[in-house]
Amino acid sequence: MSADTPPLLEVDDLCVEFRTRRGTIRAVNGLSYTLHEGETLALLGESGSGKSVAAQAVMGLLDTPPAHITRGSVRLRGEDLLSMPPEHRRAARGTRVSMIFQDALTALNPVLTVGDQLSEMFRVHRGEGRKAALARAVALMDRVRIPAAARRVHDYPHQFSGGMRQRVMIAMALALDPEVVIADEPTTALDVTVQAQIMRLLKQLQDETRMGLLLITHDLGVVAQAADRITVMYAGRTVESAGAEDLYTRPGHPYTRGLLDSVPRLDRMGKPLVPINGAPPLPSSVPTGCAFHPRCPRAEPRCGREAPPYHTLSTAGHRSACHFAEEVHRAPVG
Amino acid sequence: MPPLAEAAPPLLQATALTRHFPITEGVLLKRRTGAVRAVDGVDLTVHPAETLGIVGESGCGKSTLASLLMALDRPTSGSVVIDGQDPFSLSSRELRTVRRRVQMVLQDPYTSLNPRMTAGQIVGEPFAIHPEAVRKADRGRRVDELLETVGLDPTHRDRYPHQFSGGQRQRLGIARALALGPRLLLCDEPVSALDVSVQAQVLNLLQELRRDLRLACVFISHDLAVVQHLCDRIAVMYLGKIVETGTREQIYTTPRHPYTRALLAAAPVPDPRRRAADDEHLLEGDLPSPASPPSGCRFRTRCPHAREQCLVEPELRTRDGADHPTACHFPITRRNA
Repeated sequence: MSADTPPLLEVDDLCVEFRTRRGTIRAVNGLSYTLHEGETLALLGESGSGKSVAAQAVMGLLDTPPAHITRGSVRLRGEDLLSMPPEHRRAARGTRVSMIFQDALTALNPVLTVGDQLSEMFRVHRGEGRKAALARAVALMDRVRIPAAARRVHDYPHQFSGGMRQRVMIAMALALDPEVVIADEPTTALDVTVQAQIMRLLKQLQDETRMGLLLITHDLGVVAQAADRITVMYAGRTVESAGAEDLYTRPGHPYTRGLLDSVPRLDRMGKPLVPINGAPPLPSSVPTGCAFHPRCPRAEPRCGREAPPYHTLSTAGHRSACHFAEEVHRAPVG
Repeated sequence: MPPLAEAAPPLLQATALTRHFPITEGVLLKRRTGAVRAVDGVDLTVHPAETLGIVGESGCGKSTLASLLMALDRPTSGSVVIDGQDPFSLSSRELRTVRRRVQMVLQDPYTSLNPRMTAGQIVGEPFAIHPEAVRKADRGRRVDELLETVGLDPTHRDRYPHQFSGGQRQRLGIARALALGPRLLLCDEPVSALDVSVQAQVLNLLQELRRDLRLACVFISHDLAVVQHLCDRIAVMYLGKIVETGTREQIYTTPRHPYTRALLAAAPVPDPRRRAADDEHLLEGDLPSPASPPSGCRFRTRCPHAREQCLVEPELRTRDGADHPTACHFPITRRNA
């Protein structure tokens, strides 16, 4: 990609606050990432890390109040989504950026057939007639490999299995050929054999459309199998970002390293797990300085005072927000 | 398995265990029109100090099996023997004594702890039901010991569940399960509700307890990596039946049932250098409904090797001498792998 074309999606220093009567909660506190065409970027984080709020902010799904975007920018091919007039923003939603939710059963309307919901996209956004739109819906269901699409288009969401329902969600997200698809825990509710099918489908569709895929998940396995690049979030902030192989083989942040050491792996039978002490902080009480310092095995007094800046590590595009990033990066894994 | 454990009588044994839930139609005159065959002829044995993993996807019947093994639910047919006794033939008083020996850790530490009870009350509650277990005067001290055993601070005994993190709550659940000094702990998805960074803490705790207290464990999970990490032996379940059992090495390195192999192939390895290049072993389709499972081999509708013979139900049986039974007419061998 040439240097002067702006990247597909660029999020810079995004901050999201929830202002409630009981106080202000900073859910996202300085998140930055860049997503290119045809690329899969994983946003990896545990509960409360702000990964889903960040996605909703990009989609423009947060209600104000209580949510306020206090800082930062979200640029789609150079155009700032946050400063766009609301009607332009609405037009972009679904057509240029779309989203796949975790729980298809609650994300789909239970009293409308799948065909109604899919064809609505074409009727509302493209002004197509009922019949033409329904034919499009069938074609779309074929595309996400739902068997007997012509018949099943008249079924209701509850008549589909979990995996098939998630395919319907994917069909809906892809209906209008968006440039960016945000998938928020797309396989968390599914069984492992069905998860593998869905991840394979997403990859095939990405190869066909060159869409940029933002994969939001807590699952280190899914990320390793699907992502080109990874941004690790902790307590609302990016703590590390790197290419997938780089991040797993030479992590530059103690949190990333801790995650890798704490997950049981089929290929390392019986190897002892090294857990991270404590628990992730609540967004309402994020520790000062480096938010990870109370759980960090190599924390020093300064970690509680100074928020670490981003250090660029030896490999291209590898950044870590740790005072000791270089040392962590150099230490062998495993 | 060590020969010593083999010689000792089993702590828990299930024979041809079956649980069907009737499906009825009609409001006033209920007619039985079918049955969900949640557990359908399961045999298993757990020896003292042994850990058995039961792995399977949602709907395979693993949680129904758990409640049968704990005598919380009556089987349609078949039997459970806990420590030499049939829990369903006992009086409620005798059953209570048997229950002291087998205890359960539940999945969700958010809903399985009473929010109005303090940590100390939760962990001490088993003594109210089994007053003979510990003398009244010693109970406070015992609760403190239990909290310490699971890595909680005994000075926090007056806190309520919401004041603990998810991982600490699961520790409370474990302390409660240990209160009566059980010989077997049945854990139903004990870490699925926890964050990745916290899961390892609880897994390590379970491993220590099992070693230090010589506990037997039945560990039920959908996560093959978790089961494999903790268990000596593993049973793979599909639609109410066990399709393969073996040591963890056997299950992982030489799976014999195509379903086991598919589960292994589908589990994402957290290493980008080991991306699943071949889709060969990935399954198509979804799990059939346990209300109308396929005839013959239940896996045949998704099995890449299904043939006519698979219309006949395969038995779970051992081949070529190894203690590694599988229920498949065409098990994977080294030659055809």
